[in-house]
Amino acid sequence: MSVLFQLAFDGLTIGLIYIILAAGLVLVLSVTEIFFVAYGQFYMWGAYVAWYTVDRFKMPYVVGLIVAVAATAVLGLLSYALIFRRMQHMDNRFLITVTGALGISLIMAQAVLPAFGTQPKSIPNVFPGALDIGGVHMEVKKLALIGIGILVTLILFYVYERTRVGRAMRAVSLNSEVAALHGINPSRVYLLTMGVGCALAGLAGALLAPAYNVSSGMGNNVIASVLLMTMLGGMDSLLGAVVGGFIVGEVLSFGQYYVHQMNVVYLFLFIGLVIYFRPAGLLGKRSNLGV
Amino acid sequence: MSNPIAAAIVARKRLVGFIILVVFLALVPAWVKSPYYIDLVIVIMINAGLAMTFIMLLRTGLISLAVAAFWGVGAYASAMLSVHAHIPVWACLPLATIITAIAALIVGFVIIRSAGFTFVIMTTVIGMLFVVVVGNIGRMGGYNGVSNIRPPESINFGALGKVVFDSKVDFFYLGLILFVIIMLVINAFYSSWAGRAWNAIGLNPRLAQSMGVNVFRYRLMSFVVGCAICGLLGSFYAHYQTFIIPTAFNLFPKTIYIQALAVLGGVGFATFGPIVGAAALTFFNEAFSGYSNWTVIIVGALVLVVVVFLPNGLLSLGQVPSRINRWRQERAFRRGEAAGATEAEAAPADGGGEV
Repeated sequence: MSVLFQLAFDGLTIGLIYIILAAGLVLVLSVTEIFFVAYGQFYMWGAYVAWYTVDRFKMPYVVGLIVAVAATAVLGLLSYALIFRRMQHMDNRFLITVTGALGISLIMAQAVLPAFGTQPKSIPNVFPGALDIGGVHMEVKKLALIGIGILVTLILFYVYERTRVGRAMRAVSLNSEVAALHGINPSRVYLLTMGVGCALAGLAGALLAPAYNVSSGMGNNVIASVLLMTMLGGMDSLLGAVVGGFIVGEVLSFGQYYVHQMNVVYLFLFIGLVIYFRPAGLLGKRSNLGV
Repeated sequence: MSNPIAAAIVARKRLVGFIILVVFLALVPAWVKSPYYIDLVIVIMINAGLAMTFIMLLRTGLISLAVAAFWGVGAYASAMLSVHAHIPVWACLPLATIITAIAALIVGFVIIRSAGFTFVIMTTVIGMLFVVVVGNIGRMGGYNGVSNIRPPESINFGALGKVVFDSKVDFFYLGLILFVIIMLVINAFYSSWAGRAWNAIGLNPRLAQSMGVNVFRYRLMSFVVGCAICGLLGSFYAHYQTFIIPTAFNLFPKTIYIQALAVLGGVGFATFGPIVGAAALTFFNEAFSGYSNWTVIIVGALVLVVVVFLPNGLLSLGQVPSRINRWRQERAFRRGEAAGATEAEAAPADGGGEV
């Protein structure tokens, strides 16, 4: 029995990282309608920047977290302002933006090597100790990750559902032209969303840094599964991102224990079936992206 | 245009360009001796062929991110037939093509009804599924891949000599022959009734349907033909490399690269676009290969520059003179119109005075 709880706990830890990542990607996909394959690199950059701040400048971890979020937000804003803003009205928008995202992804994936070195990094454990409750081994660093993750998700829900900014985002995601008629500047909402989405990716990376290793391949490894869990939950639904991230995290955790490698195969098959019968995902409403 | 030869060249610009390209490629080994560069040209041809199939599907309005997966199906089918069943390689090439076509028929039958973005997601899932499925089947080598795939058997042309596949040049000519066949097949499809139906579907599926084009059947046809070509290229790749690993056929770098070089060359140019795109990307990589860590960064920046300033691809540079001309004509027309407008404004005033 305690094995089950242990697996659920581990799944929840990685699931929260996925939830934050998927939530950011949901914002980017539904509002700016960019199939953003460079998203994983922001996650990696968040982890690296957090490591750099803590390791080189001897800052406390919280400062590293804030710096990582700020840095990835600025990178996201720059990539929109310099590149995607020009592509928003081109023909073949989908293909052009994917190619642009590939260019960004190449640059960001490679730039960490001269900037931070090739060795895998890890932040010295800032939350030492572990709790044992009913046979479940819970490290404090993972508990902290879960706490911060849940807090961020709640804040995100509040902002998206209850504030003017969130309402503007939802309006633009429904129909940017009508939103513009109602006095919202879609271009600014796109810019803001890109910043928030990339900052969430950076936050996920920075949260992960003390609990797991940081390596230059992590961005490439995660992007495909984050895209899939976004599709599973529905690409216009934050709640869908939470459900998708949770399912994927738990399935990977339990599957690793019971069926080893094949868990990924079953997971992808399951996601494929869900998308086949519900193109909008479990909780989503729309299934098109202006293709 | 008094010269009849020049007139003929202009009339058959595409054909002449095609012949020049083939002759140029056929002469590459004559002046390039380094096996490294021959290898690059072979890789360019494979990538260009894959991008052509991507554009072929794009013509019918389908964006397939499973190109690399079907490439991998062809490669693995050929490798399995060759390594485990000991079938001669010359039989493996067509067999792998047929197997890939059958796989594409089954997959396409299921997923093609969902067009638009759903199709993109479905092909994404398939592209990722292929890697994990193959990686988990021990008999197919798992994540370690398949090695010791035999090169094609030597052919004896009698008096003309014998072709033994032991150097890159032999593979280069085999690849070139396949590449030319692929280009001819694709262009034959484009200029036939099927190509016209594809174009119609790409422009507007509903309108095409109302005109009596069976949208599902023609899309399925383009999917099967495109994937079969991918399979042929994959089979060639497997016997050329002699080893394959599943992660080489992954969605994230490979298919996105294929898509990107189709865009770099220009998706409006179905045959020459991918060639230019693939050559440009390889050229970028080689030209800046001396800067160690900075190579990929420079390549990424160049991709961004091309895609931001030439969204219709590198080949749209060739349309710049005509575009300038048109712009001049429009400006002249606008000026004339402005002058005409002032006259027209003046005229009613006079007329009004008369009444």
